[in-house]
Amino acid sequence: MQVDATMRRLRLLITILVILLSSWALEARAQDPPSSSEYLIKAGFIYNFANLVQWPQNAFPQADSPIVIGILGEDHFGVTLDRVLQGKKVNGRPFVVRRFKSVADLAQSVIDLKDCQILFVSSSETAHVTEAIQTLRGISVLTIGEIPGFAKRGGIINLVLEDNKVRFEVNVEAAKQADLNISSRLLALAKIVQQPALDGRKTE
Amino acid sequence: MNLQNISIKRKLILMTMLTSSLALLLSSASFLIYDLISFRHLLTQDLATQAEIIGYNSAAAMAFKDEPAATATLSALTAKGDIVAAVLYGSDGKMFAQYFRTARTLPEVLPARSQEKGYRFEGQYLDVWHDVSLNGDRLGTLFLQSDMRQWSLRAKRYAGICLVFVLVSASFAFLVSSKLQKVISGRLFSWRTP
Repeated sequence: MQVDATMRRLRLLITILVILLSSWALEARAQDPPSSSEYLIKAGFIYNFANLVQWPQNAFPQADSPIVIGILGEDHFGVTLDRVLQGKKVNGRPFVVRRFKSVADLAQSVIDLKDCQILFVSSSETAHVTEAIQTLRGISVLTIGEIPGFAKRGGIINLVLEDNKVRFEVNVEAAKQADLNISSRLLALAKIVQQPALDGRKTE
Repeated sequence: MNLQNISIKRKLILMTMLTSSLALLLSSASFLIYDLISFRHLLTQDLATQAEIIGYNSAAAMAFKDEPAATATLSALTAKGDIVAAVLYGSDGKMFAQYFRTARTLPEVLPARSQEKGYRFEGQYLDVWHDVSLNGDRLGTLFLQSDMRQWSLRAKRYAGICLVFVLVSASFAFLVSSKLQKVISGRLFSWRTP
């Protein structure tokens, strides 16, 4: 009798637990899609950029070195970026994704080791954009941002949302300074952004 | 006019004319056929090249899912009068962007989904299917449809030229053979009369 009651109580507890867990999982999934689909698109864009941008020979430590994509700041991609780039190659180079917590973290590994070819600046780093760009000055790193005005402030590519679609701005001058060759096919789709003259003078 | 009642003189002329005209007609026809076949091949190559150029130029737009840019690229085909329709299909096989030369071509007429690459003659149309890819990644398929207007125009013009040529040659053959037969039959008759 006693065992039976305990069993019943246990079963009830498990049922409640299962319901709670599944509802929590459902909720989590329901909240997930909009941002995850946006980042799925952005991950695809990063891959396409890698296809349509040419780095100088000296941007890689070795001829078959991977293209290292750094994510600066809060990572909104989760596993999406790794999954999109899995097994993909550009000119025989595979991809590696690295995460940098802060600009200081980035500065340490990039400058000496040339260990980053693409840097994605997360929206969490809005306050540190100029700092990050200054750090990468003179190094062939394709900077990609998702911050309004990123390209105007010296970033190379900025992803913007327009009518719920991801579009991009390109700062051609910044690309030239980083010794990156952006395909005309990519430029044809981009909104070309000019850096304010003051900033341009400062860089020369 | 019975064939038996015609004089030998006439028969000789008729025979020469018939033989030469027939030979001319046959050789023109073989030229016409050869030319039209090779021209058809040329058109296919031309359309395939066209597809390659358009495919190359719209690859980035497809990769970035930029439909207006892809449509703009297809619209450049306005300059090619024979291209009736151009459609880009995504990697899922669904239509991504399209272009029609005239409003008369209804979208329903077009294949709803992409097909294997290659070319096909459908009635008086030539269809080309071309894979669109960016650095080795297949992004979708481009479909181009030509009404082969240069081909039918060429066929008509060529046939017209052949007809005129045969007629002119036949009349020329008539003149020459009537002159020539005088040499033979003139002597033939002069032997018989004395």
